[in-house]
This record gives sequence, structure tokens and C-alpha cells, in this order.
Amino acid sequence: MGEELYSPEMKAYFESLQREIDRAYEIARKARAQGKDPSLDVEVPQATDMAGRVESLVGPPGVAERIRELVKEYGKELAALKVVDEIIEGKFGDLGSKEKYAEQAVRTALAILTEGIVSAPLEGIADVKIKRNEWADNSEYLALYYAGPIRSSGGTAQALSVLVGDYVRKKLGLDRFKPSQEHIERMVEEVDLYHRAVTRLQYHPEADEVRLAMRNIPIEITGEETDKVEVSHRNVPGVETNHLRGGAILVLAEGVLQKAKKLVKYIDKMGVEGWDWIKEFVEAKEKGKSTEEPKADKSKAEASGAKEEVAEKVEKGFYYELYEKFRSNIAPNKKYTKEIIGGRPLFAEPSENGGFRLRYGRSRVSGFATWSVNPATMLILDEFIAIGTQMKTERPGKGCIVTPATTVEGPIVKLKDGSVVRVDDYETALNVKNEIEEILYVGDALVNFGDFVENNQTLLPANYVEEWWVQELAKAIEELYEVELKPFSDNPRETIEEAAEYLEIDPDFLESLLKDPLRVRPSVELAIHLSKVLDIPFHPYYTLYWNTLKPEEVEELQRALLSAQIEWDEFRKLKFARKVVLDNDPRIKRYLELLGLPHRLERTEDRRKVIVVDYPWSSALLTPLGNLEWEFRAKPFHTVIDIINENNPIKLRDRGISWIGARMGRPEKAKERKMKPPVQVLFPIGLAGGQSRDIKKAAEEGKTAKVEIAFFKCPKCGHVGPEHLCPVCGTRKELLWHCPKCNVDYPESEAEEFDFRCPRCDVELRPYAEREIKPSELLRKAMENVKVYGIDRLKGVKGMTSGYKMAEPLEKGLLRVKNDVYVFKDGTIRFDATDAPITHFKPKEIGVSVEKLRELGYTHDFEGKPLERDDQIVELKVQDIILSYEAGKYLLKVARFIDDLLEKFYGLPRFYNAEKMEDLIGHLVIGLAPHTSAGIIGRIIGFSDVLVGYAHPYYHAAKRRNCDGDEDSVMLLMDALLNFSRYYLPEKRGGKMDAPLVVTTRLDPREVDSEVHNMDVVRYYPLEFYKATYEMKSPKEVKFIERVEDRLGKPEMYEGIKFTHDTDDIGLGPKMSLYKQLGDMVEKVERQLALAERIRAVDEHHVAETILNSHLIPDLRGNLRSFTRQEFRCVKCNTKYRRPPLTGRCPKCGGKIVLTVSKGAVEKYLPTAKMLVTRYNVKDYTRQRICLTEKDIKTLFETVLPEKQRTLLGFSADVCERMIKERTGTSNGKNGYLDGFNGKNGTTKKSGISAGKKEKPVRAGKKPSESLAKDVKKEKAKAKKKRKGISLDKFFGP
Amino acid sequence: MLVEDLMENNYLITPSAYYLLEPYYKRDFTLAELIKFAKAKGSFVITSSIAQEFLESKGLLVTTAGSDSVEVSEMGEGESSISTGDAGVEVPLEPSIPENASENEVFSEGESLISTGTSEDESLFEPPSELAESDGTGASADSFPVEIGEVAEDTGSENTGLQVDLESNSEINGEPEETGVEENGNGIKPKVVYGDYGVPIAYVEEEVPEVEKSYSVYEDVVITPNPEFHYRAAEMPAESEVVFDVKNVKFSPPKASNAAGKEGEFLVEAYRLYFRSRLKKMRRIFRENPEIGGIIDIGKLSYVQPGSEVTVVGLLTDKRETNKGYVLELEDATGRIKVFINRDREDAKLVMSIMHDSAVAVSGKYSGRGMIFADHLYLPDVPKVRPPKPPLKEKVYAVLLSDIHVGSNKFCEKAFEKFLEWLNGNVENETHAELVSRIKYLIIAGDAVDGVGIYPGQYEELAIPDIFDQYEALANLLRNVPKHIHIFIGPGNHDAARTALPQPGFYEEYARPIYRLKNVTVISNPAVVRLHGRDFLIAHGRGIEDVVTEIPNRSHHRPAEAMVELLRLRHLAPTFGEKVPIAPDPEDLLVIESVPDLFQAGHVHVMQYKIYNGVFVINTGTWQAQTEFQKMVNIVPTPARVPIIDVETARLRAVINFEQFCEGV
Repeated sequence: MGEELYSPEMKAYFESLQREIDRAYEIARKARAQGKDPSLDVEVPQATDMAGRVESLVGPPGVAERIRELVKEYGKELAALKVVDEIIEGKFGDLGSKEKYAEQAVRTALAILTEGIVSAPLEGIADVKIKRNEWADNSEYLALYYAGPIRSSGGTAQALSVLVGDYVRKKLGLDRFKPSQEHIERMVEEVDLYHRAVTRLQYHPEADEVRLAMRNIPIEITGEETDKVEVSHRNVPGVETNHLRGGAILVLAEGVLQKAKKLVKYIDKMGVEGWDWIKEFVEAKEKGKSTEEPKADKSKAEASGAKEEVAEKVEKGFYYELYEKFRSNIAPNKKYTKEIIGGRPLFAEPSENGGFRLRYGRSRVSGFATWSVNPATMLILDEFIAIGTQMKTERPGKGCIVTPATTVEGPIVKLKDGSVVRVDDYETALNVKNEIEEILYVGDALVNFGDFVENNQTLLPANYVEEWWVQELAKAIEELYEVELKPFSDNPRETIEEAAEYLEIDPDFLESLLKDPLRVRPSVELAIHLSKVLDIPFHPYYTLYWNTLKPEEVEELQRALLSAQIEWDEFRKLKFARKVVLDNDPRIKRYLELLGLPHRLERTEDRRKVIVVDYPWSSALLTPLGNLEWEFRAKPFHTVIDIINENNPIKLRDRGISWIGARMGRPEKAKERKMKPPVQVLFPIGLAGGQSRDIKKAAEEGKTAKVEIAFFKCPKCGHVGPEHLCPVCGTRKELLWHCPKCNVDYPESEAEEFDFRCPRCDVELRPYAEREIKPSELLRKAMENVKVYGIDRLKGVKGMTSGYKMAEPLEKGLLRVKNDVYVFKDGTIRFDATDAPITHFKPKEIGVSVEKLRELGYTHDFEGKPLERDDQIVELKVQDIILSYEAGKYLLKVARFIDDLLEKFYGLPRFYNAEKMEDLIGHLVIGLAPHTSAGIIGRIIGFSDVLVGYAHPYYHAAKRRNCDGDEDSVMLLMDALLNFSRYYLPEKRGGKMDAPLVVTTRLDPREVDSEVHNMDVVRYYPLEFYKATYEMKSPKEVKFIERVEDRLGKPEMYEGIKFTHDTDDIGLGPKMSLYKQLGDMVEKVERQLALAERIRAVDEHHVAETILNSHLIPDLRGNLRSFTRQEFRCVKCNTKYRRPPLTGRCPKCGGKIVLTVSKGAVEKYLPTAKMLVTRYNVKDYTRQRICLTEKDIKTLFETVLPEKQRTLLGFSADVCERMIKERTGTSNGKNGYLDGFNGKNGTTKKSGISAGKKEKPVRAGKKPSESLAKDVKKEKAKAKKKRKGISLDKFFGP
Repeated sequence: MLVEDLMENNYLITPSAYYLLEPYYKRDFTLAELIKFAKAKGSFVITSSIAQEFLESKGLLVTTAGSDSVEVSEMGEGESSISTGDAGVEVPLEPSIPENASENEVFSEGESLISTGTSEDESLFEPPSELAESDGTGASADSFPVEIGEVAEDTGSENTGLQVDLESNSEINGEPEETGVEENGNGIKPKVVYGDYGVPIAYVEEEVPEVEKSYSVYEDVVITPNPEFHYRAAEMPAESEVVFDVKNVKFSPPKASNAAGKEGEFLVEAYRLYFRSRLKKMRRIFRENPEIGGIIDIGKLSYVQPGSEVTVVGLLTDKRETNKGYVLELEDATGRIKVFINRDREDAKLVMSIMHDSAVAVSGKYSGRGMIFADHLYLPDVPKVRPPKPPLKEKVYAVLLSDIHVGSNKFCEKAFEKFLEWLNGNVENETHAELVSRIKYLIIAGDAVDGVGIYPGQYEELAIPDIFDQYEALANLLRNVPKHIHIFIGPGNHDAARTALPQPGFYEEYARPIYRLKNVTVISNPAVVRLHGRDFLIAHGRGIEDVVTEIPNRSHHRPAEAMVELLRLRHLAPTFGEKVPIAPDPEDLLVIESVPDLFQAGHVHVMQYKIYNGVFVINTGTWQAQTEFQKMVNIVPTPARVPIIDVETARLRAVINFEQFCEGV
């Protein structure tokens, strides 16, 4: 520790932050000292470091100092075990019993492992017990009781807690837990039941996996019941509950099993014995995956066992062998495609050619579970991805969010006019967006190496890209001419000139090419020249996706080219093609499309359509084919590129080996937090304020409210009321304690004497009681106090859930109303946003002037040049954040509220004086994530027009978030200091989560979530890396890429972080995902499938089937089920009934009884589902499920609504009808809803539909989705019209 | 792939066989079928000859050359070749007549078909069916060598009977003999070409003869009745009648108060009427109990002198335990009342048995403050004694089954086929012969097939993932039940039928093959079937689920006890809002209005029986071995047990156990 950790700049930065913090605390203390709040001091203590947080969170006293020492010596994980040793050895005092020792040890260790940030060590472990193996040998074992909030510690820490538990067990000399068959099967059932009945597990283990884990984990993982769901394995010895044990389930499934791979890492690191089974488990799983693979992947052929026997020893091409190895080592991972939600499209099937092309690297706004893609890709994917949208990914991790990077490739698309275009920039994308026929290639996904390390994902063979090529260029120049040049940096002019001379090229060009190879590219003839001279592969930009084609197809293509018209040109005696004109043969055209070769169709004079390939693509096509000077011939066990490289002087590297699949996850978010219903003041009003809990309304109506609330009594004048400060004499009042039995109040001082028990009844006193309040009086006083009168409403709460039930001063509510802000349960005002990482920014991107930035300490750009222009790239300081505009607008209101509060309520000077958003720059906020209770100070330095919260990856890691779609909140520091109180926090398990119980003032990268330590920090990945990817090495073996981990403990951990790919603007791209703009499910599904049809790498039929199976059918069946078991509700008093009262009216208030699950809810998705099974090739099984479900719904209401059913929407009785007819030979014409139509337009329509010759429903029309929504709507409209007709009939009829 | 898959199952394959099979693999046949075939051959090496036969059996290959093997497993199509057999005149009618007949029947059956008059037809059709079936078992069954001979002669084949089948096969497949020669003439090395990346692939002719299903729907299950077996039951007059069937009930849906009545209101009203109807029916039942005096409406209690004795009947809304006893809340059509019963009261024990929403009668003192202090509680219950029924002239038996789950990959098909053989008179001894001879009825209480989409992930566990084929398969099995045995079959939660209770029957368009069987009557769930004057209450038994969660000490391992609880409450699914889905019908058809002689249910897959107050209560188990899901929730089924009921006494006569034939037990 100590000074050497920071550079002087960083030191100054942290000091300036601390000065600001101190200033805020000083003002807040003054305000708090007035006694207008539950506590007289600020309730957000500043934390020194992790050790301090641990000690204040779980203890034991004095442990902080030891932790600091041990962490220094051994690192965090080992230190946790050492602390366990010391606790059990009694170094922190005698704790009484073995159980207590065990408990303390486990809690402290877990707190260390979770950095003392989350509340899991406190609330996630309910108990630690020593029990006996009664059913076995009666030996003693250790049992950990987990509770729901264990979730907050994350899977890895959950798994580690088990490991720690085992360590504690051994340390205490206890035997293993020896589960009986009953124990095992109980857990098997629970895991599955939890997944089905409570919430989906991120990882749903197989029954055998659970069995394996239960048999082998040496301690008992158990817990308190979390959900009122009963199991069928009841009364298992030693298991106290017959309900689900959510905490234990999570630890087992999402902890030990899901994180098994990571756990192995730690087992080795921590040297815990007896866990070999999990290594075997991980190995077996990996293997299982790869054996599964050959069956799955048929499109890319690979040698299966039998075939290899036949093949014997044959000569294989380099890429052929690489592909073979690739397929056998790394199987497509289908997990993310198992579930597709309506409206959230699949962008690419697992490892499918044409999906996301893997590009290794990290942009300024990626890494740490974030991918960058070209903004053009976002647009072309129909804006389903916006900046910050989450994707569920095939690998390396499960998910990521998306940010823009303009220096990676965009999609290649085929337009409706038949031309193929590479869309690498946003403008082109805007132009062609509505003209797209097919998305041939989705585009690049920039994934950083660190994410591969983090997930221990075997490196996939790198696709050929500019950053690789330029290194080969530099290397070749060095080897050939002995001139040393460095890519991605400024090179001495002399060396540049020397090299340029050798190469006979323009030195300026060479300089810029080396400096920025991602943006600067040689012309095609120059590229040919460079490849020829230096014997390096063809420039990647001009390399086509040759290996997408089969050798036979290239043969065919070559034959076609032989008869094509080609215009030739020459450059330094190198022949290259200027233009190629081919006959428009659909097969040839398709080959060109698959190559990703831009071309267009043109009509000749004789009105023939021809394919025209222009410069430079003409040359990109013909150069690898040797300008047709040699004959391309297919060869067994050789890919196209292999054959080209055997014959052609200019070699190729494959630009399309590794593809990654992804689908959309959650949309991005940036929104103020409102409770439901929204609350403006934490003041109870009961039902007096009506449904909206409006205190203003209650006051106007002169109502009194009976609510449970804490009252205070003035020791001087005896005034009693909910205020802390006496409104009469200004004295700080005393809390009244109340005996619920004899209804007597005792002031706090007295109550304390009685030990908070009623001296008469010996009942425990309560700090609150049900009391009558007069909103009108209280509100009037409050209005006078802060001079706020004309408000529309003031929303309170129905009742307080906190332990003390202390109400907030109404004045705060009035000022919140005035400034249009809402409060969260802890008294603070929050703004939520999706987390996004950023390490470098340009001043112009965040709307802040260079001058202002210099004031904030940004004096140089990331290359060390003085900061002068607003387009220089600047490295972000670790605690600085860039807010979204939305956040800026809201926090501005909050700032005004705080100023009003200071001025009018506390009588202090205004603090922020913010007129516009920019005025907030330099002010401090607290960042706080759900499930944690430690915030981190951040400083606002700018705003960006995106719906994410950009901040340094460290900053997110300090909140224990990564950026795979997590979101969390910011609040103004002053707001938290003034308004937060523990007295407002709910008194239930988990109530202490998501509250700023402590705030970290100085970010130490060593004490943040270690996931960020894997982020790489280099300017480019060296050639060795690309070599390693071809060898499919484990990322662990790659030591030569510097990661954060390598810098920990040095000043460089704060500064000098680099990125590999620049982007023009961090805000370039769609702002809001299309998902959020679409209306109902029909529309969502329609757009989703329209996109699926367009993307070559997506099978729309598979998408349709998965949507049905993972979303629509469960919803339909679920609602059908719940309809027939639903509760009934009184509209008036909202009382719920298991069955409708027999009298027909609410027995309590005489109100009307209504359904809680409507018929509409049951059939909501039916039209969509039927359309899907009609138009897409789904399994018969799925089609039958839909048809049966429809029939189930129909028969359910048959007896009650015999006429109504014919008015129901639903079309295409045909799909089920047709199926029945096909299968049974006859149709009873009674299946679909529409069949209910008789007479009038019914018959005609039906015949029309069944006569429609859609025998093969799919493929024939090519794009089923096109008319999907139209049809659905049409049918709906018809149904509506029809309904009107019927009711009229009934009205006039007999 | 084929190679690895086979090796995983300890089978080997020769290269030439591989080339033969590979093109069809996973497209035209499954691994399981191949292994089954090889197993039948007793070989763990798949040679080219086995492969060839296998393909032939699947109709994928046609050959003229004789093969060296002895068996051909698939005989389904063989039937038509027998049409020249001695019963030739009648046989051709066999396929056509039933179709026509059922066509007509289907429409009449919907409402009220009670198949008492079919016995004549049955006898008429017996000979042809016998003959047709003889072919199916021809190869393996050694008990009918004579018939095989006959067949062989008739078809005029030169060699053995088995050759006949081969030839008949080729006859059926007709023309494409040339291709057959080309592929099998030499029996080795098809042409090899290179595919993607030069991977060699076997050359395959593009056209594939007629895609066949990868699973069997049991067309080949044709059981030969024992010709010497004498069915006493066939000579007895049938005396059966469906006395209660949901389909026959006419509902009176709630009337709209005005033209703009909302459907939500209708539905609430329907549910309300449902419970009112329950109360009304229950009051009728209570009135039959002489111990219970004049019942008073809860709404009229306010006119009653505090302290006087009252009796009320209501549906249980809520129950709570207090220090001293229990507080129940009852509701009738006029209001709600709290009832307190002291723990010391004898009837306090009954509180445990009262399920939510079931009816209960209470007598005690009215306190005047909205509370009755109860002396007695009464469940609707069944009377302890009932007048005896007149004896029957002759013993007649009924077989009770449920939860067959045809289509599940855990369906005990072997065991079921054994059972069918047994029914066809292939019995071991006199005792069995006596039983079989007198069986006249077969009742199936739901879950006849495994259904589709019943639970998540079911697809993986289905042998027949197709609802039409599941019923086809079921019908193919049931057609082997001797025609004089009448089958009553009702739906369960796995069937293609309305999901909510009560279930009127199978969806006709999906279960058509069942409706077409002549000796089958489809009944509703629940239904009451009267056999020779004895009432059999048949329900699938979902209510058992609620009983075991609500009543202490009841378990799905002992379903008969749970069924007794339902009987005591006189309702098949009393609690609303728990596991059992209840339809918004305006009348409660789940009330056990009249006391049956026998109460049959299934659903929980465990066979157990009990006698309660003269009613024989039986849960009939299952024909499905333990599934993964059941293993998880700790259900241990008792598959393949056949309880035989003596209709006269409505008591169990015997249980025949076929469990040893059930794989996976």
C-alpha cells in the first residue's frame, strides 16, 4: 500500500474526489444535525477498503487489520482460508461453540470473497449448524443454511462458499455429510421444481448432475424455505422444511454446477482436497460436448469415425485439417437457442457461417462481457440491437451487451435489385436498409481476449483481419529489408521512408497505414503488389469468403469466369481485373453472393441481365484464381483456400472460420426508478388517499387515516406527532414506544429503562402503533414550512414496511412533487441504466469542452499529447462516469430538489445551482447495484445520447457488475447523504439489499470483482496470439497479452490502458431497440421472423418452432391452467377469494366479483401461435400441441359461452383442419374457431381458406412473415365486426 | 455417426453393411429399430445380410434374391397376401366393413351409443380376424404350426412359409425391382463419391421408397385367439349401460342480464352457479342422512334465538386451528358463518378430512354473534349399509385398467401384449382359464395414451410423438381384445380431451380409431357404468392430488385411501384453485350423487384397493414404467397389474401380474 500506488496525477485525482466528498459530507452533517431526520448524522459511512467493509459487515472485530496483511501476502482467495484458520484457532476471541466458530468463519470468508460489497454473507447464509449423519454412521457433519439473498453474491462466490464450508469442516475435524438416497432425490426434485414453479434457473442441471453433486459435496447444502411450494419428498431426516429451499438450490445449480469450471480453478489455487470429482465432471462435460458435435453439424462436413477408416492416410489441405480439428474440438453451443422469446430475434444459429464473425479485440467501449459491432450491423438487423442491448451469446460467455465500433466490418447484404453490397458504414446502412433481400453476412463481433480468459473458452481460430495483416506486413518488411516498423504507432520518419523506398510506395501512405491499419487500406493493386513483394497473404479486405464455397462450386464458378468479359489493367506489370461481366446464371450468382463479393445486375443492350463486378472486387475475385491462368480443380480433403494456396502465387488466409451465434436478450434501459405505484414521500396514508395513495386528496377530503406509524413526543412541550422536530418549540422529540396489549405509550428514555418491555404486560414494546393521523393538518403545516402550495398530488405509501415505521417529513415529498422526482424505498432518488464499459472517450462525444475537461484533470490524450482538440482520445479516469441524456435530465431535477431542500427545509445555501445538464459535470454520485449494500463514489464528466450508463469497467466491477446486460442505479451523493436512512429500510430478508449502507470513496482495482482483472489492456494482439488461435489453445496458455491482472498493485493499474479498435463515436448507432418500439406480440413475432427469413445464418423455421416451444406454448398452457384454478377478486375492496362467493357479491363490501385471469389472457397468443404453425415448417408434434390447445380453450368455454365462441378471433381453422383431414381422411369441420361461423360470411370465408392451395405451407411463398401481421389483424378486425353483429342480433332477436 | 451410435450400444457393423444402412440412417429408421432388429437376430455384428434384411423389412430395399436369414419381422402388409386363404370370402370384408360401419357409428356414437347389440357382429367377424392374426405370429409362435402351413400352401410358394412373406413383400412393393437388383445384386460396395471437403459418402439413389415412420403403431400386433378356448362370457347376454355421462347433461348457461353482457361476467357467474349446484346437491345428500335434522339457511340464523340448536350445511371457505379447537368458515347461498368446534369433541377429528370447498353439515348452538359452537360435524359420506343387490345367475367379470400411456417410451408394450394374449385364451392353467372365460367387460379410466405436450420436454420421452398415431396404436392394441368383451374407455389428463374437469370424452377427430372400434364405448370422466345392475363409478382421479396435499397422512403412494376421502366428501375434486383444473360449467358434475358399488380411479399409477362402507374402492395402477419425472418426484408406479372384478359382488376376484414383462421395472 501507500503512495507508490498512484502516479501524481492519479493522486491528485483521488484527492480532488476526496475534497468534494468531504465538502458534501460537511454540508450534509449540518443539515442532519438539525434533527429533522431519523438520525442526527449522515447514515452513509465512508469505507476505507475491502477489509474495512468486511469487518463492518460481518466481523469479527479486529479482523480488518489481519485481512489487509493476509491479502497482501497470499491474495484474496487464500487469505479467506487463512482467516478461517485464524478464526477457528481462536485468534479473534472465544466464540463459544464449534457452530459459532464455523458460522463466523464461513461468513467472514464469504465476505472477503465478495469484497464486502454484497449482503450475501449477512443475509444469504441463514445459519450454520453441526448435525449428525443419523441415517448413516451418526458422525458429525457441517450444514450450511442458505437463504434467498445468497443470489446476490453471484454464482462463483456461491460455489466458493461451499468450498470454504468444506475447508471449515475439515478444520473442525468433522466428518463428511453422507446423504441418503432420500436426500439426493429430494434435491433432484427441488432443483427441477424450482425451475418449473418459481423462476427459471440460469443453469438447469440434469438430474444426474445434481445426484453427482449431492453424493460428492462433503457438506450439507440446505436452507430455509423460500417459496411456498411443497415437494413430494417429505420429511427427509435433517431437512426441516417440506418447501423449496431456494438458497440451497441456487448454490447447487447456479453455484457449484454452473461454475464448476471456475471452481476447478480455485480448487487448484486454494489447494482444497477431495474435490476431484468436480474436475472429472468438468472434463466429462467438455468431452460430452465434443462428441455431440459431429452429429449436430452436418452442413460443414467433417470426417466421422467410419469415414476416417476409409480415408486412411491421405494428404489433407492446411485449412481442411484446421477445420477438422476445429469441429472436433469446439462444438457449436446451442444453449442460447433453446429459448427464443417473441420479439427478441435470433441473429445467428450456433457457429453458423454468416453469423457474427469473430474478431478478436477490444474497443474503447467493449471488453468485460461487452461486444462491439459495426453500427451498420445494428441498423441492418432492423435496429433490434441498439447501443446497450443485451445479447445472449454462444460464446465465450453467456451474454453481453452491444456497443458500436466503426472499425470492424459491417454486414454484407443482397439487395432487392440483386446487387450485393458491403455495408461498413452507418450512412450506407441507412441507404440500403429498406432494400435488403438477404443478409448474407451479419458482420463482425469484436470480442476481447479477456472474455475468453474469463470464461476459459478455448480460442477459436482467428479470422483474417487487417490488424493481423499489418503485423505480417511489418514482420515481412523487417525480415526482408531489416527495417523495424511498429504497427499502431508513430514510426520514425527515416525508417518509414526507407521501407517505402524498398517497397516503392508513398511513405505518407505507409506511415498512415501502419498507424491506423483499420481505417487506411491499400488499393487492390497495391495490395497485390505488397503481397507479391513481401510474400504476405492478400489483404483481408479484398479476401473473400472462399471457404464458404465447396471446391466443386469454385470449379463451376471458374468455368463461368472463363467465358466472362473481363477488362484487364496493369499496375507495375501486375495484371488485375478492372471489371468482370458474367451471364446471370442463378447458381453462379449465388456463389458470388456467398463469397461476399459486391456486384450488381445490369441490363445489356439486348435486354439480357448480366452480373457486373466492378473494381476493386473484380480483382479481389480474380487475383486468387490467378487471373484464370491456372485451372482450379477440386481435390479431396482440400478446402477452396487450400487449393488456391497450392496453385496461386498470392496466398490467402481464411477470413471466415469462426462464427458466433447470438440472439437478443433484454433491451437496453435508462430510466428513473419509480416504485409501483410511484411514491413521492415515504409517508403512510392507508386507503385514505384512494388507489393512488394521494395524501393531497386525503387532505382535501378531510379524511383521517388509521395507519401504523412511529410518533414522537416533545420532551419540553409534550407535542405528539410524526415529526422528529417539535413544530411548536423546535426541540428534537423522543420516539414513543407502544405496548400493543395495553395500548400505552412510553417515550424512548422510559422504554429503555424497562428494557423495551411493557412494565405492566411484559410484552415487547413496539416503536410504532396504529394511530390516527389528519393528513390535512400535517400537509398544511408542511406546505407552510417549505412554501410549496399548488401541487396536484402527493403520493405516499399505503403502509410502511420498515421496522420502526418512521415517516419521512412531508416537506421532502412536497419538494419532490415540485421538482417532479420520485423516491425509492430507502429515501433516495435513483436513476437506473444498463451498464456499459468505456475506457477512452473523445471530448466531443460527451458534450464537454476541452477547458472543462482540463479543469477536471484531463490534461493529455491517451498517447500523451496535450489535450487541445475535442476529437482527441482521452483515457477515462476510473471513477468518472458518462451519463445518458435521460439520466442528466432527471438528475438535474434531483439537483434542484436537493437545492430546494437545503434552502427551504434545512435553511442552508443551495449546493448544486444547476441550470442545465452541463452544470452537473464534476459533481459526485453514488453508484449502487441491486443485491449489494456498498456504493461507490463516481464523478459525472459528461453525457451521451444513449440509453446506457457508460463508466470505467473498474467502476462497474466495484459494484460487482459486469456488462452482460446488468443494470444499476446512480443517485446524487448529496441526496443519499441527506435523505437516506436505515430506518426506512424494509424489515424483511433482503431488505438491506440495494441500499447505500456504506460507500467506497477510492476505487482500488484489486478490490473489485476479479472478473475485470481478465480484461486485456493492449493496443493490439501480437502475431503469436493469432498463431495460438490456430492451435486452438486454452486462453490460459496465452501469457503474452497484458491484462489488468498483470498490472495490479502497480500505478499502471490505473492508467495507460489501451484498446485495439477505435470507433468514430461511442453514441453512433440506434438509440432504442426496435423491440421497445413494437406493439403487441403479433407485431413483434412478425418483425422477428421477417428478420429471421432475411438472415442467411438463421433458420426461420427453427426460430418459429423455438418461439412456440419456449414462449408461446408455455404461456398458452400456463394461462389455460391458471384460468381453471384462478382466484376471484372484488373490484371494490380487492379482497381475493378462492372461489366466487355463492351470494354473487363480495361478502365484505358488497362489491362486484370479477375474474383474475380473463378469457382474453388465455387466448392472447393463440392467433400468433396458429399463424406460426401454419406458415412455418414446425414439427407435427408442435402443430398438434397448438391445435389441441386451441381445442382445449374452445371446449373450456363451450358450455358457458355457446354463442360467443363463434365471434372469437382466430383464423385458419385450416391448419388444424387440414392436418386432421390429412391424418384421418375426414374433417369434422369443427376444430377451429372460425368453423363456428355458420351462414352469412362464415361459410364463404371458410371455404376460401381451405380452398387456398397452401398444401406446402412454407417455402412456397418464400416470406411467410410478410403478410402475417396483416392476416392476424384482418382476422381480428373481422372477428370484431362479427361480434358487433351478433350482439345486435341478440338485441333485436327473439 | 451410425458407427459411434452402434458402438455406444455395443454393436458392431461391417463396412459393407454401413454403406447399405448409412444413407437411410436417422431419416428412414432409428438406431433403436436397427438394434431391435439385430437383437432379434441374436447378433451383435451388423453384417451386410442383416442390414439388407433390415432394409427390406423397412421397405427401403427390395430384393428378389433369397436371403439366408430365417425371420422377417415386419408382417403388417402381409395381411393382404393372405386374402386368398380359406376364409377368403369374408376376409376382404374385414378391412372395409368396419370402416363403413364405424363411419356411421361415429355419428350416432357421439351421444348415446351403448354397445349392447354388437355381439352378433362380433361372432360374425371372428373367423376372419383369427385368420388374419395367425399370419402375424406365424414366424415365431410355435403353437400354430398348422396354420402357417396352410398359408404357405395357399400362396403356392415353392419353399417354406417364410419365403412366402418375402415374396409377398416384393409383391407389395411392386415395380422397382430393377433398382433392387442394382443395389443388391452383388451385395457389396456401392459407388463412393466425395462430398464436402472430400469426405467420401455412399452413393444413394435419390428416390426413397415411401417414407416410413420411425416408430411402430403396433399394426403388427395381431394376436391369435386360442381356437380351443371357450369363452363363457361370449354366450352371456350383455347387461351394461352408461347411467351417467357428462356428454348427456344439458347445461343451462347463465342468462345475460342485457345484450352487452361481458364474457367475464358470464364466467364468474358460471363458476358461482357451479358451486351453488354443488351445495344444492350436497344438501340433498345430507337430507338422506337421518341423523341430520332440519337444515337452516345461514342467512336465516339472525332470526334464531341465540343459544338454540341449529344445523347448517355449507361449503368450507376457511379453516383455522386455535388453542382450543378449530374455527371453520362455512358458506351457503345466503351467507357465511363461523363454526367453532372444541378439540375434545369426537367430531373434531373430522376437521382434518374436510377439504376446502367441500360441503359439511354442522349442528350445534348458535351463539348469536355470528358463530356456531358445534356439537357435531357431518361429512356427506356414504351410508354404512345399503340394500343388497339381487344375485346374478352366473359369474361374470370385469377387468379394470387405467393409465396405459400408449406412446410413452416407458409404455410396457410387451406386458400389454402378454395381457392381450392372455385375454385371447393363451393361459397357463385352469384358474386363469376360468377367469378369462368369464371376462365380459374392460374398463379404462383415463390416460389411455401419453398425449402430446402434456408437460415440458415430453417430446423426448415419447416413442410416438404424434397424437393421431398414439390413438392408432391404442386401437391397434385394443382390436386384439376378444370381440365379446366390451370396452368402456374414458379420458384422463394425458388424453386429447378437454383439460378441465369434467371431461366429456376424447376429441373425436384425434381419437377416431378408438371410436371406430366396434366393441368400445367412450365414456366421460367421470362416468357411471351399470353392469348387471351394479354401479361402477369411473373417474380418472385427479382429485387425489389435492387430497394428498390437503389431508394429513394421505399419500399418492396409497391412492385408495385418498379415494375414500373423496368418497366421504362425495366429490371427485372438492377444492377449487389447487391442482385440479375445473371448467366454468354452471352445474357441478363432479358430485358423487348416488352411491356406487365400485369406485375406480387411476392417475397416480399405483394400484391399491379398499372397501369402504360397502363400496369397493380401487386405483388401477398403470402400464407405464417409472419415468424420469416420477423418479424425481418419488412416485414408484406398479405397472402392468390387471385387477379382475367379480361384477356380482363388485369385489376383486384376482389380480394378474404382468409386471415381469415390463421393461425398466
